[in-house]
Amino acid sequence: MVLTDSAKNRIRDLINVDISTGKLGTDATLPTASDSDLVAGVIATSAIPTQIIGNKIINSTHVLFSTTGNGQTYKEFGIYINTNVLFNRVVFPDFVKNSSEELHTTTVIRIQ
Amino acid sequence: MNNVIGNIIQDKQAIKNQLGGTPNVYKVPFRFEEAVKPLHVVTKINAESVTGAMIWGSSIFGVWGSASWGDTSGSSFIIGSPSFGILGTNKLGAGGSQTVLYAVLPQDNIFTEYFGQNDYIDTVNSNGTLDTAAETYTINSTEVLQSGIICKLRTPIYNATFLNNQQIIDTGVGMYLPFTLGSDVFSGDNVEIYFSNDSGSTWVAANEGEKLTFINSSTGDELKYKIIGFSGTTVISTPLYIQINQ
Repeated sequence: MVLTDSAKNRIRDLINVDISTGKLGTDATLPTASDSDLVAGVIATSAIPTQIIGNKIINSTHVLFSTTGNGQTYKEFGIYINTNVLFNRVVFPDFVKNSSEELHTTTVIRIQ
Repeated sequence: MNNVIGNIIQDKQAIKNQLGGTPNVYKVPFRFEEAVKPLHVVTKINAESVTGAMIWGSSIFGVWGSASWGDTSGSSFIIGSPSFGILGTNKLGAGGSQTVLYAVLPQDNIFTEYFGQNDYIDTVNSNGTLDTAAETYTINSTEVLQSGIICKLRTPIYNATFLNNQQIIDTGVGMYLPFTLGSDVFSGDNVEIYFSNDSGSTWVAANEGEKLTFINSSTGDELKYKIIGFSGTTVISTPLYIQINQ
């Protein structure tokens, strides 16, 4: 049996429209499948990401502007679907945010 | 004889009554399963400096009624300037505004290239043929597939290798190419493979049976790979799985 690319792209579209927000946080605890939220999410960083879709792929980009979320050391990022369901969580090396920088976080999601 | 026939008829009728008068129907179930997996492939983080630019809402730059436009070097937003503040371009403020790649984070430290898009292919230094619909990359003799930065963890990358169908073969320091070049990943033994951990400044050949050691093993933190065709045509038609070791 083969699951068609058309079906996978339909699933891609359903996920794409369900992506609601991206958010950054300050905890570097390694992600697990049981995570339901960022460990230390910073509400001020919550923003609607921008999606670009490709063949079975979603590129989702969250932007933290220079005037937002300053003075924090960011270590985690997550995308939420259906408003408050954590879709993925990733930890990264410490990023100290100040007013001279914007932070662009791009997540690639593939429907396999 | 009539009694015998009559009894036979009665027996048949009794059997029919037992079976409900209808033949048995056996259900043969078929069951098919297919998995659909949304995969988090990679996260890329860019930090864009806005120093010198005009920023609405900023308390430092572009403050109305003040001279805080552009940076202190005088590269300000000037109407009519041929260098700065040009409508439709990004030449607003000083040239110090730039995007810096901060991190590239493959899921589980395994980067996967599906060839469904060219975001992680260096299109300037690659001259093979990408087919995003078929998800293949074709290399003829002397042609090159070179990646962009597929991993940047801000700590030194000391080793990397291709995996056979995402199966980890060895996790120690210094890894052997775990499969025959021709049989498992590439259609024919017609390619040479190289890795770089310093964004392409130096390259190390990945050979079967030999440990891969980066030249800048204690400092390099930006991983790239390069595949060069040396005879015939090679079609990469399966995802490339690259494991990164720190």
